[in-house]
Amino acid sequence: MNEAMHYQNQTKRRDILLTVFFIVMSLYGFYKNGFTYYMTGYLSFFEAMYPLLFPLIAVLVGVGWNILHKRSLFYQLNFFLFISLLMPPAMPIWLYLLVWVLFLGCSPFLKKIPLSKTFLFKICTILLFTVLLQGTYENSVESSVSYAYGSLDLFLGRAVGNVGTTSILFLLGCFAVFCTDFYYKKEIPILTIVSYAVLVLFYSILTSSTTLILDLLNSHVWVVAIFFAPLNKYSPVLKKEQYGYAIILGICCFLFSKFFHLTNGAYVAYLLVQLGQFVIYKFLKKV
Amino acid sequence: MKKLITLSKDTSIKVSSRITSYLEPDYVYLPILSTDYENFRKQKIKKGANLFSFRGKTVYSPVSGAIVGIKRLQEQDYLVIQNDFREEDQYIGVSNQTTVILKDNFAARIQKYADIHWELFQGKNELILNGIEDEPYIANKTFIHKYQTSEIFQMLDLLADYFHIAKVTICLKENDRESIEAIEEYLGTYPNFCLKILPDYYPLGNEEILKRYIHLTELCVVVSTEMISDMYLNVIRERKKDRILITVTGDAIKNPQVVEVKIGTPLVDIKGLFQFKEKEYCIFLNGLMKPTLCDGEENLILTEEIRAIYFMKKKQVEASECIRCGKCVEICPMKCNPYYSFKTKGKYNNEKCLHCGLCTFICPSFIPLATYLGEEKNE
Repeated sequence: MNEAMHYQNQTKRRDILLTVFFIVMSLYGFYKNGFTYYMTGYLSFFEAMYPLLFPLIAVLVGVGWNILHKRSLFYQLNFFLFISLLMPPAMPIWLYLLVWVLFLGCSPFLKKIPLSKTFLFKICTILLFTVLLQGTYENSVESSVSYAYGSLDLFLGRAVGNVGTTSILFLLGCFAVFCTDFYYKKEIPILTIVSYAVLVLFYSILTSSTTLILDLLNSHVWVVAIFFAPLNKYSPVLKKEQYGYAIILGICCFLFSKFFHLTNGAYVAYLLVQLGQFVIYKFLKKV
Repeated sequence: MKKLITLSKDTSIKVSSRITSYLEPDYVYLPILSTDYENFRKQKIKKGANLFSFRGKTVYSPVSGAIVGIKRLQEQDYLVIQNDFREEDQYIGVSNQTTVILKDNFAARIQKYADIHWELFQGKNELILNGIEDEPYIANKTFIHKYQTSEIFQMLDLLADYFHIAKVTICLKENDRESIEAIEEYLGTYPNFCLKILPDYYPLGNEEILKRYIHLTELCVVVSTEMISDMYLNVIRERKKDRILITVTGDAIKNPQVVEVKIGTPLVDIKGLFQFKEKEYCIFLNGLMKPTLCDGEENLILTEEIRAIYFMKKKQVEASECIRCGKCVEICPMKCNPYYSFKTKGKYNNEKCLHCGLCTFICPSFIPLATYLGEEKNE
């Protein structure tokens, strides 16, 4: 097709900004899970450098994958960096490498299966994170000492969580960068978090819970809402459907994170909403 | 009303502020619409001579000269007229200067030119002049506003007076400064005229969208600048249209401009007016939002249907997989579902579609979505 006139989306600026954010988040993950403990004597130098291995291995895997597929070296490197940020800080390196082997290794087989490869891809990737990574997200020091984090700690990222996505501040920064992308479905994360927050608030009032702030600033929910939920290929097309999808995702995040006390509750919620998307689609069509 | 968008434009391909005239072609080619070929014998004719009629539309000769034959170009037969450059008009005695016509005489002209659809104006209380040029880079209406302001106002005033229309509103875009300045000069003379300046949204020039945007009722009638200009020429000056304005622009030429040519002039005759940046280029007709790709410039004849010619650098893009962003559905001003039409491979054709081209414009995968929404109905 000969292009006569077309909308010019500023993807380059968005990608550069995202890369900057991911690098900063990786460095913060290193600071929070390694450097501070090294300075206070809890960890040795090499133990303190451990959190940096995740993004470094991700970059090497990404570059190698691109060389294998004869693409530009930095093609979709943000994706690889982002996956590294989702790892638990105390995850063994061999398990981390296994995740990459399974994540990338299953791609050729998906094409041969008659079902939609994207559908299976969703199941595989989310199952990986929920099954293999189920357990504690505490780092080696947090698992051995008592700790208590205040509201500001949770907001800035000094909390239990993934290597690089504990900081709500940085996640909001990523959201702001995504909003510069014309094709980003910004209503979905907003509605997901609002519906989740409303339920947490009601639950807190009803049960006189003291963990309101901890639940509201659950970084897993924010990660799912900002990064996973608005993915274009896996989210609805029409506005009405997007609103329904976001609200239901928020409800499921609440149920699995708060009600069933699952550490990976947000990811399980996302998986189930994806699997049930076809049913939800038909239901909304009737509405 | 859905929120409309402003199209970003390349300022380097803005047209010159002057019209270039090319009114002396050696031959003109008029598309033969009638099947009655017997009348097309070699003969001398005058400018404005009635050549043939087809479905209520009469084709007149734009030049004086001689019919030399019939030529087939791109599966269409054309009547070839050799220009004698004398400009002998069929209608003798008609003044070449602007005619001021009394309102009493206008009633007689209405009766005389009964083939014009005067019923459009009956029973209306507001007359809207749609002076908005929708397609980017086209400046035809701007030049008509600039050089025929008095004629436009006179025609609108005659219509408003005869059909008892209380108010006349002229709609222009805020970035069309030349038209606004030209119109504002005359506005004070006509107390029942007003100027409405609208934002640079696309496709606000479409009558349906304009009606919704400025909340027009059934008692409003919308006319375009070209319609009023043609009406003035036919009814007031009693002359037949022999020339057209065509915007010639694009990123493959150095001097984009509006050209005034005789109807039926071949494109190759005016190519020499332009300096080309590229040796290879594509030619689009009548707009970039709903582009019609021209196959062969050698056989392209400039008729009334052609408003603009774009010489664009060749930029081949491959359509990729749909990413389900939903922007095509969001941006459609008529609330069509281009995504669904694409998914059903065109089985679901939406009749509301204006063929504005916004869905194709916004698609990040470069899918030609407009082609799945059914063909544009040519009136």
